[in-house]
Amino acid sequence: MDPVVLPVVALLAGAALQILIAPFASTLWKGRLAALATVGALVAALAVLPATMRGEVLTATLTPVWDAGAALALRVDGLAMLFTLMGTFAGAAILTFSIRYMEDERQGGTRFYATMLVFIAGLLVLASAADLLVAYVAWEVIGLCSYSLVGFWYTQKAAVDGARKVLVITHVAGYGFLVAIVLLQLRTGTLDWADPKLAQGFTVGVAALLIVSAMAKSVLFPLHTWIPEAMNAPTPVSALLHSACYVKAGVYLIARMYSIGPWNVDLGTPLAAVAAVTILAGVIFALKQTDLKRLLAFHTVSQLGYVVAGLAIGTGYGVTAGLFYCLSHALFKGTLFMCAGSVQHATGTRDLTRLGGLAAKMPWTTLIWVVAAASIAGVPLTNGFVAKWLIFGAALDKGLVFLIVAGWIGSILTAFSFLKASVNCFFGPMPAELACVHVHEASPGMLLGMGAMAAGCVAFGLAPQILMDWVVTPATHGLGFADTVGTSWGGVATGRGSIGLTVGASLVAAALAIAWMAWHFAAAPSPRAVAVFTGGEPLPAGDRPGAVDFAGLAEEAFHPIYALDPDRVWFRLWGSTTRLADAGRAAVAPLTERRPLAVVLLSGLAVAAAIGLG
Amino acid sequence: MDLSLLLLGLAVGLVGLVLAAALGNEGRGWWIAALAVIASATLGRLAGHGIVGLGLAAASEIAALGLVLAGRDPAARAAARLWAAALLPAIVAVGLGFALTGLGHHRPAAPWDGLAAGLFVLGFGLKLGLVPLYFWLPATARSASATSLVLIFGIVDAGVLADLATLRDLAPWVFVGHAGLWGGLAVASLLGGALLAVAETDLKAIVAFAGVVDAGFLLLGLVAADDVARTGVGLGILGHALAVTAIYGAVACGETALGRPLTITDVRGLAGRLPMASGVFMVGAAALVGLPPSLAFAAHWRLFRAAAEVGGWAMTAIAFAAASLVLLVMVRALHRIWLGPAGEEIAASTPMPARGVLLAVALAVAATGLTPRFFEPASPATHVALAPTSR
Repeated sequence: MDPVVLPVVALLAGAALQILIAPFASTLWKGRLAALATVGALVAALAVLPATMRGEVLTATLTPVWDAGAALALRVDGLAMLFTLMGTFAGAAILTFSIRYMEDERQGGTRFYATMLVFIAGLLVLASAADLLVAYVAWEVIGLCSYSLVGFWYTQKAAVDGARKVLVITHVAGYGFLVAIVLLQLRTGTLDWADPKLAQGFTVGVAALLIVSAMAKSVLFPLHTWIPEAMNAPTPVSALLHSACYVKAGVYLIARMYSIGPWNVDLGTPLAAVAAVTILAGVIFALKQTDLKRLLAFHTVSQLGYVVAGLAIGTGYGVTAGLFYCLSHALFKGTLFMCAGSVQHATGTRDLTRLGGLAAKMPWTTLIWVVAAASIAGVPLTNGFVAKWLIFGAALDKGLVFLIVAGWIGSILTAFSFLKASVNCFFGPMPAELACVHVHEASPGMLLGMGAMAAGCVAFGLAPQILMDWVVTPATHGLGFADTVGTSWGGVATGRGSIGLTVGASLVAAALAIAWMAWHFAAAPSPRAVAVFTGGEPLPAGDRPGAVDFAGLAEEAFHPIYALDPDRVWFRLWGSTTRLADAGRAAVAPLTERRPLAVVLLSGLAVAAAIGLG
Repeated sequence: MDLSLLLLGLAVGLVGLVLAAALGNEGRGWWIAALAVIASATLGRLAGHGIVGLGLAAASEIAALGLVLAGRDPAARAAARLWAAALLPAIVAVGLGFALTGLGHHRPAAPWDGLAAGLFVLGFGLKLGLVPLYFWLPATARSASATSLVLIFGIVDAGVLADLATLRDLAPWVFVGHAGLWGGLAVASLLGGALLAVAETDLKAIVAFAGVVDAGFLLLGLVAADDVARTGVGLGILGHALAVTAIYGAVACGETALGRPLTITDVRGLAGRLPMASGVFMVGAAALVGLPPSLAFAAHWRLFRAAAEVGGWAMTAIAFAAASLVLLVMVRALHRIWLGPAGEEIAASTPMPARGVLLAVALAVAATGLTPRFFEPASPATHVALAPTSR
């Protein structure tokens, strides 16, 4: 079998196996087999990595007979390999985590694991699709998988409402992708990504349609509102789909557009502006959250802004930065979601107002969380620091000051937000009601999945050159950029000694420092310091603002921004449509439904007139 | 395509009969009408395009009236009368059109060619319930049982669409020469059908109006002048038939379990007790909306292309609006009726034969969607009359 198709085949075979063993195997064993299938896919993908590192483009046929006179073919270049590795590695870690996390689900185990495997396979096919039609099919298949998984608990209103929102927003916007495909096919007669003729039909309008589709999948403002509702899904779904993989489908599409031809300058700047707004909107909304998963969801929105900002910059440096950030985000966000799931699994809640002091009972989860939180905040020696450094450097290189300002403010608020979440969840005193619960550390299997991703955050923070040289640079070169951004230990840049990189690193460090200072000064003074003024009595317990306090502060500070909810626009549009439909039907029904003879006669006259005039 | 349609008709007929037997809702009159529909449609396909074939197709359409009449209540009788008021003139109109054109092989001299085209527009518009000629559709959809609608939309409607596609192959002048008329009918059906679906509350009627939108898409494919559009029409007919079979089959199970029609206003959370039916409804709805993998998707992208070809950005925007509305309507129906917390206790569950046949339909939707190449129509007939010929 062609090694190029092996990862996809391994995953689909795993999904088929889930259906075959459904009546016999426990949920535990279904999870083990699913994780094994993903590990197999990862190994198969790594076997092909050396070829893509050399700049080779590998092709293979999945099925010889499909549609439009073409086979269902794959073409694996550097960019496809990047997403393949991201999907299979994140998938393997998260499905390993799922083995114990989902073992108590009595029903739906087959549905869960089969859909997860089909989803990962779909992502791989999307990234490796040789033509636009196959890419669109994969695009919609992963959308349906997301719908099915978000609505996993389909008898619960919150879950199905979240699933509906995911489907509606991403699919309606996805029609933009379909329209772009048919316009390209009509104008050029081809659907092959690599056909030079495709560039002739690649107008600003077509590109804009693709970008709108990508915005919905990759939660860019204002098409991001589905992601917090999707948090009613099981945590592995949130970790794999809504942080590591599904939301990266739009990133892939935007990046792949570079392989068609150079972008019109009219597109890059507006997209960078959208990215800047997304960075800020995401983190500002995250500040007021007290639900741990919703907090992470809004941070996903913000972080995707950074990723797309890199791609929008339009230079090789920018695209490199964006793709590196894409991979880094998958690692640290997937880890954070799994930690949140671990907390919920152990305590029965993910409400920050009811959590605290978990470090003593869940030391390993705490450590892993701290590593991932440091990474997202951009602490040096983590991959998040390197990723931010690269983004700021690329923006400085291009002179996009607004992007730098937005990114910097976003970094400060992100660090602040994670300081709050970390302290409220893991440190300080444990709430009385939680002390009665048997809070336990995550199982070894769950820790293995979380730890693998967190180890990646540290490994690629210490040695980012591995990721850069093996995966990111071949991807960037495959898109037609000649730039090579060199990095060395700890993220120190090599080969590009520009002042921009130094300034970029300084911005990241400054953001962290400001966030820490804000957190520190927000704390109440210690009892000893004010004993004289309180008559020697200690101050009340709770010497640090809690989650609710921060949510209230954020609400006060950013109230006008919280009022800018795009959902109101969509609901108003739908409401207008239903009212129009009801009114229209009420107006015409007396004729069209109750006077058939009149309708037929009038229609006949209209037809006769049209023919006569024509 | 004729072989595919023949096999599809037999398969849909089998599905309908198994469902009726398993659910046990239908009386003797229904069975006679159902067998008459299936037999005449099958024989019509076998006879091919000709007087006999068209006659048998008309017989199938008339026999379908019996499926609605089998309901026996006053509403069913009224609906059957209304449908007959549309169907009989439609059969006459189409028949006259074929007579004027020598079964489509000749183009008569003006003004007879215009008359023939007009008769075809009215006749097929009435048969398919296109906007504004849909007066019979909502009453029929509400009154007929869901199993009946499997046969009506999965066999009879598919046959009508196939006749329209055959007319396109034989007499392209009917469409190309009157593109504005057919295009106008398509736009009215796309937008009107979608808005009517939004305003509707009965699930069977919602799906029927979604079918009108689908017919609008197919009309665009007939007006567009190339092979890609033609393939889209062929695949669309098959894909639509499979989708509505899945949907109405699931609805039949839901109606039987609940003991009343399914509406979006007062039915909730059936999936908890009828997971198989809800899953098949989801598959059918996804196919109806044109999501992959399904034959309907293979048709959908071609018909979107036809929209762009026929009417540029404006027609593409209309197609997008219609498709989006159908998606929203089907999602609303899915989430109100099937998903979420259960609204009431259901005594009955789906019998095993019904579950088996529904599963088979769902698998067929996916399997055909993965291999659309096998279902593409063959090249059109070589004899095509474009210029008027004297009679």
